[in-house]
Amino acid sequence: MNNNNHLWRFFTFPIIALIIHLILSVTRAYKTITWIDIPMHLIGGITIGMLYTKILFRFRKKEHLGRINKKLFFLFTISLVALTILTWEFLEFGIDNLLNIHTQSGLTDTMVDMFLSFIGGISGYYLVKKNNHNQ
Amino acid sequence: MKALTRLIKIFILPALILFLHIILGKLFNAYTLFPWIDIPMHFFGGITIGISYPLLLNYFTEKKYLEVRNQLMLFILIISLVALTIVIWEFLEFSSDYLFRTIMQPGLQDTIADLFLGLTGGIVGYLISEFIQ
Repeated sequence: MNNNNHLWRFFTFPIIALIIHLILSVTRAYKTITWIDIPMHLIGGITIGMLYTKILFRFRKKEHLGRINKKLFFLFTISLVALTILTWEFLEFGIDNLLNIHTQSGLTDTMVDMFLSFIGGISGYYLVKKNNHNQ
Repeated sequence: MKALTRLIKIFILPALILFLHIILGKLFNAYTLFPWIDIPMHFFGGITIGISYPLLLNYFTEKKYLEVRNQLMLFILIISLVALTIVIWEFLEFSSDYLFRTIMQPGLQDTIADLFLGLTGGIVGYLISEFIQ
């Protein structure tokens, strides 16, 4: 139970980023301050990059993952970030079509969002890695 | 040399699809003449990488670079690798359109459909590889 509590703590930053996103959406901040989308995607990416790095470290400790090469560890982390980004964009596209709203402004905007989140994810990995030299 | 041969064998199907993609696009201008051809190409592309990644992870396991003890975890990692490939592919297409004025991504709807087909293909590919094993 204690270990499960610990695992849930990893989700703190992504949940905070999601709450900020929801507040910005409800207050229509994305419409009035259009550039705010950029740091939000970057920060979102950082939080999920950190999340997956911590989870993979934990899984390795708990032996769900036995051996894992450092390069593969990095590859899996950014792959999980990519899967999350894809799922997020599918959700936005679905919501836009179902509710007739515009969370996705167009192709360029969506590709930039994905790129920023991806770069954020890579940064998140290095942030956790830097604080866990011995892992 | 042995490792290279093994890697070529692992990635032979995605390489064939890439070859077919280049022939269809460059030689026959097929994506302009038959826009629907994009749909099966993305789906089959996804299937081939969904088949190749389990083989690659098996190879890494044999080489003792990796050991995944949980089947669900293995599935998530493979689908994530498929997602990474698809995302990088779309980044490349976008960059090509931006830098060289090509028209590989006609619009948002088309790109989202491509991403979805690629990911779905990847899941089907993984299931095929599981069935074969």
